[in-house]
Amino acid sequence: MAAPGGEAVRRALGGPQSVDAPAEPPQAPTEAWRLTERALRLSSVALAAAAVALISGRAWMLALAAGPAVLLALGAPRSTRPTRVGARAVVPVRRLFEGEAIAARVDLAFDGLVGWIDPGVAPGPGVELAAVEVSGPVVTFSFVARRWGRWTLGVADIDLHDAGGLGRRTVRAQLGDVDIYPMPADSTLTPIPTRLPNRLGEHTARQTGDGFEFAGVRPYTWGDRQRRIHWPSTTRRGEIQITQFAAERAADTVVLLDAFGDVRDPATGRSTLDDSVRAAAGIARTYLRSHDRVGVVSVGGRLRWLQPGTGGGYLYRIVETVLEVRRDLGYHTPDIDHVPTPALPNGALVYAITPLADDRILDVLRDLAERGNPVVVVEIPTGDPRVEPGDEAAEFALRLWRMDREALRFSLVERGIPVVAWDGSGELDLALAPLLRTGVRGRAR
Amino acid sequence: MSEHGSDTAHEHEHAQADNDAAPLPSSAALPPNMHAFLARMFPGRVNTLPNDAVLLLGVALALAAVDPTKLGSRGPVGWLFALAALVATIWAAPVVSRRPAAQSVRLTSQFARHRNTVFAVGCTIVAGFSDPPVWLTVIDAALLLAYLLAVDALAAGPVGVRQLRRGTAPLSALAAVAIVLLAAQAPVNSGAVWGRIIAALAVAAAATAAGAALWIRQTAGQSSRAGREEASTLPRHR
Repeated sequence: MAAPGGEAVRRALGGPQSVDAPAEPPQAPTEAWRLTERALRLSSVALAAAAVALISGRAWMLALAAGPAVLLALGAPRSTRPTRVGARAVVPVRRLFEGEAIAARVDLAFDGLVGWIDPGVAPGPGVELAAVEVSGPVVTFSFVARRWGRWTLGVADIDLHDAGGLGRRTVRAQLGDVDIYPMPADSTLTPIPTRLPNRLGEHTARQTGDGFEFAGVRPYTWGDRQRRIHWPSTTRRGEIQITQFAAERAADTVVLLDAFGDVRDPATGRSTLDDSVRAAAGIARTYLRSHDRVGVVSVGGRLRWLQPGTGGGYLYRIVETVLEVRRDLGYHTPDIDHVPTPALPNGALVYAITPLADDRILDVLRDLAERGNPVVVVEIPTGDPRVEPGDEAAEFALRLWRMDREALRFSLVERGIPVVAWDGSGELDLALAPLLRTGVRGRAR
Repeated sequence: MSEHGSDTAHEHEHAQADNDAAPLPSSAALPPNMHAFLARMFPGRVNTLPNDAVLLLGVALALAAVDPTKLGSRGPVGWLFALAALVATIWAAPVVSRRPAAQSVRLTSQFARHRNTVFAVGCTIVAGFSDPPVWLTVIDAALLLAYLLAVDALAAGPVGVRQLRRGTAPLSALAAVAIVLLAAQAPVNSGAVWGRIIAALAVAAAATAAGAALWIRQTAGQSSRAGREEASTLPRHR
């Protein structure tokens, strides 16, 4: 029988749920039959009435005890109560994207009769319980993946009530771990650096080559093909002119993820680390669709990196590299020189996705600029600190804070590092569009 | 371990229990025709009507327990006590339908979790230390039984709903209450101290006999079931 979503979910959770701060899983249940609330209620009333009758000497009080006593006797366990119970959790899909549904099935095995299967669950972080369904000895929990990460799905405690409703036994099933991949931000634009590696691709380079984009004309030299003669220029200049085409090259792109901290926007509650990884996934997916090579470097408590690669499946490798980055938050400042050369190829376009909330990322950006890589900072805004209305000192402090942020961005732009902002909502294209006007320049080594 | 019993009757009963083995909304305690009627009369509130009815039942029980026939003679203290009982009733009488998972070991949390039980026990004790007229004792007993059955129907899952729909258990309990009330009115009270001791022994003997009978029935059933399982050739695992 399918249980209605809201009421069954509330009952299974034992209260409201929070994706950000999930409830602690309860202690492991005992493997013995315990009294139900019903048994406790009926027996308490019967005993209290009998005791009062004997103490006060009022025989009619035994009538108050008789009713619950009869209900208890009629519901008393017979031979049908299960003696052996077991539960097995089956989660068919353990890898999915944010917003997708996860179905976890718990198959119960027991002998004897069960009058009521009462499922409870303590969901893990990052998932939200959407529905509970009990069908025979099978309990199905439907979750919705809310936050990317490698999470535990939770613990299911399922109460089996005996046929009389007087005893219950809890059986526990661990639902295991799930990998929730970030939903990549929508993006189609692929800004490129001014210098591209000498590899065939889809981007129009500034260098001349064998592409399709018109790049100019030049005088004829011995060996040029006749079909490339540019006749208008030839007739105008009186000598043979040859059409030149732009080369089409592939780009190397490295996404640098700032995992030094996770700042929560006071107004919207959005997490900068969540949005950073979504932006990183969006950028990686866009470049991979253009058949470019994409790598990832995550700086935080622990340095994680993946050398640039290409192909549709590479997005999953990139995402899995940073899936546990939430656990890396620490105070160690990584030395970018320690990143192996294959992870940061010479001339690779680096997207530094950062809330610019930690000074250590500035050191990393400086190191990158000195290596000669073209760098773009995609700023994930942290939101303004909350200021109490009427608090003049706080308002001045907020102005100073904003000016400090502006100065920080200005210093980066002055250093040749463009800064674009993406607030986690909407398309990434709007943020990246200004980079299309000119190629992203890196410092010549 | 098998999920289904080894004999046909067992399997049938199991399947029947399984169909009801899901949490139900509070309105599911009502018969379908009554539910349809209430849905027409009170659209939008039909799901909360059973809970409201239990609250009203609880208020009536509390008022009956404090013996309203003597409220006038008790003065302001009596009225204050009745008012306090009413306030406590409004908090404690509504059905607690949360899953019985231990949220906290603090006494207040436990008290809130078991407030239906505390309310019923409290009404019993308050009624026991008043001296109501006979007609009020009948009302007390009927209201207490109705309250317990209603709470069972809304909080004890399909077991409580089934118990109410089949009618055997409520009728049996009502019959037991009636018999005891009739017996209590019999003029056999001599006022001697021995009377209470004998009554206590009788209650204890009745409880022991009932417990022993149930225990024998359970152990006999278990041994016969074990014998059937050993003889069965059905697979024990799914």
